[in-house]
Amino acid sequence: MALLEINNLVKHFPISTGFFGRKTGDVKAVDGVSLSVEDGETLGLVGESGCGKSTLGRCLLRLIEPTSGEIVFEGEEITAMNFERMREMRRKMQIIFQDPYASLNPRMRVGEIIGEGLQIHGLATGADLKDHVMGLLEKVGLREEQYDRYPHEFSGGQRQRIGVARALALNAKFIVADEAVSALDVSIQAQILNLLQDLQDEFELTYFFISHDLRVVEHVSDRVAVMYLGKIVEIASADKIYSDGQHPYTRALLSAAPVPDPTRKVERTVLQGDVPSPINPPSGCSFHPRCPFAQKICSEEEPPLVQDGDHGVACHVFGPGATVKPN
Amino acid sequence: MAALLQIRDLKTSFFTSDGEVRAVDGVTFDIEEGKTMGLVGESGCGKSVTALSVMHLLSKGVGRVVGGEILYRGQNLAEFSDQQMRDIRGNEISMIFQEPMTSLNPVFSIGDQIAESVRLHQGVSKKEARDRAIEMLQLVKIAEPDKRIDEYPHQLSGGMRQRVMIAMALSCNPSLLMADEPTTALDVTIQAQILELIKELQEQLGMSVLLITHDLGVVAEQADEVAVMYAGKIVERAKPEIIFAHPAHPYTVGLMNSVPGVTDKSKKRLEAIPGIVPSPLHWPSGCRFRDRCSLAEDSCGRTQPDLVEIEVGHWVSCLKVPLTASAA
Repeated sequence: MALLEINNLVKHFPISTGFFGRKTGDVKAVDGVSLSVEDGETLGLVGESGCGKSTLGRCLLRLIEPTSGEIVFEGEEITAMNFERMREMRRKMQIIFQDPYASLNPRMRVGEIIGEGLQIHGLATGADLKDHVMGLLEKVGLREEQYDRYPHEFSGGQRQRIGVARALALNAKFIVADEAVSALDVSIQAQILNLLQDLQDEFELTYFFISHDLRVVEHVSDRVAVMYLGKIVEIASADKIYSDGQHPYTRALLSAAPVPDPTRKVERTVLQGDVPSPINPPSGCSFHPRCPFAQKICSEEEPPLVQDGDHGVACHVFGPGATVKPN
Repeated sequence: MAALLQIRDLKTSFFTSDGEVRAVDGVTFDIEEGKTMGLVGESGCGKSVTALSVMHLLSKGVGRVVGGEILYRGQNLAEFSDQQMRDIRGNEISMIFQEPMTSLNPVFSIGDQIAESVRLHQGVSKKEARDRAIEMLQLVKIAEPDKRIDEYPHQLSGGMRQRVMIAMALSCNPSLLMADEPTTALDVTIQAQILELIKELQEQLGMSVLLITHDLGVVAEQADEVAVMYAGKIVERAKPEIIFAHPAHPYTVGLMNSVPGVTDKSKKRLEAIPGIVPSPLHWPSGCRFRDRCSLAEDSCGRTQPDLVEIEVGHWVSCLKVPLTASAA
C-alpha cells in the first residue's frame, strides 16, 4: 500500500490588485497533481524554478493549505483534519529546508532546536529529552558537546545536519527534503547525501526529494517525477527517466545538464525562451510553445498523464498516450 | 607567442579585525588568446578574488594584492593606477557576475546602461551609443532589440538579464571576459542557452574567457584548460581531457567522487571528502588539504608542495602524486 497518495491536488494563489484588493487572477502553482509515494522509497521531484515543486512539497504537509484535492497518508485523508489532529500527523511527516541559514532559529541552542518537537508533543522531558537529543546529534554526525551551541557557530553542512536531526526527532516516517543539499558545496553535499541514505536504511524512511539538480536526483531516487508549470509531465523509475525519458521536456532537461566528461559531446536540444508565467499558462499542453515537436493538437487539448505500467507520460506525441505521430 | 594574461604567484589578502585573510596565496596560470580557462573550486577557495584582483575591484582599504604579477599583454596590472585601470576595464577586460539582478541598476533602462559604457570608453555620441546598444542586444540574441532597449531590468527574466550583462560587458570589444559563476543562478535549460551564447560569441569575436564556476560539468564542456583551486592555491591544472580522465590531486579526485554520476554510476554511496575547508585566517602548515586527505603523511605537514608538471601539460601540487605516477 502506498504510504502517501495525492489525488488531483491543486494550489492556486489568488492575485489581488488595486486599492480594494480585487481578485484578478490566480497563480496556478500546483495544478492537478496525482501521485503516490510507496513505503520506504525515495521519490525524486525535478523541475525548474517556479514550476511549483516546493509548493507541492509544502502542501503535502499542509504547511500551505491546498486549494482542492486529496492527500491520503497511511490510509487517512488529511486535508480535512483539524489543527490538533494535523499536529499529531506531523509527527510522522517532516520537512528539511534548503537554506540551513534561514531555517534554524538563531536565538535557540542546537539542543533546543532539535528537542523542541519532543517537548511540544510531550514525548520527553528533562534528562530524558537531553539523552534523546544527544543520541540524535551523534546519529547525524555531530558531537555531544555541540548541544549548547548556537546555529551561527556551525558551517552550512553542519547546519543541514541539525535540520536533519530535527526532522528525525519524532521518529518521522515520511520526510520532504526540499532542495536539502542545493546550498552546499559539492564535497559537503556528498556527505549529506550519504547521511540521508544511511538514515533511510536505518529507520526505513520514505523521502520526497525535491531538487533542480538532475544528477543528485538520479543518485538518490527510486522513482522520479518531472514537473512543469504546476503539472507532472512524466513519472517513472529513475533508470527509465534517465535512459528512456519520453516527454520532450524531460529530454530537453536532461540534455541541458552539463556532463562532467569532456570526451562525451552531447547532442543538445537547447530550448528556446523561458518558462511561461503560471498566471496564464499556455492553452493545451503548457509546454507546447517551447516544444520542438509541438503540433496542432498540443495547443488545443491538454494531454492527460497516461500510465504504461509504472511509466506515466503526459504528451500527445510521445509515450503510451500518444495520439499523433512526431513530424 | 606570449599568453594574453599571465598571472604569476598572485597573492591577495584582506585585512580584517580578526587578522590577515590570505584569500589568494600564490596563484599562477596563463590564459591564451581566444581560449577559455576554467577555474573551479568550492566557496571561499579564492577563485572570485583572483578575478577581482585582476580587475582592481577589491574593496578599498580592506583587500589588496600583496604580491605577484598580473601581466596583461606584458604590462603588470598589479602596478596600475586607478586612472590607468579605467582604460583597461571594459575596453580590454570586462567581467560578468553571478546575480544579474544585483549587477544591473534598477532605475535605468537597459539601453542606457549599455550605452553608458560605450560613451564613457569610446567617446561616441548619444545616438551612436544607442545604435551600438541595439546592435549588442541583437548580438546576444534578444528578440526585438529596438523595443527591448527601453525596458528596465525588472521586466526581464533571469536569463535575459544575464544576456544584457553579457551585451554590456562586450560592448567595447574586450579581449578578455571574466565570467564569475555566470549561470549558477539560472535553471539548466537557461544555463544551456547562456553557455552556448558565450561559446558562440567567443568564436565570433576571438576573445579569451576566464570562466569561474563550482560546476565540474560546466568546465568540462566549456574550458580549454582547467585549474582546480583549494584554500587559496591551485592544486591541479591541465586540459579537461586529462584532468577528467585521470585526476591526480587527492582533492580533485575527491571532488569528482562527490558529484553523483561522475565516476561510477552504479555505486550507491558517494565517496565524500571528510571534514570541512580550513579557515583562511589560519591555513594549516604544509599542504592545506592534508587534514582531509587519505594519502596524507607527516611530510605533508612540513613542506608546502609546489605545482609540478607530472606529465606534459599536467600540473599537480601534491607530495604524494609524482611518486605514485612514476611508480604506476
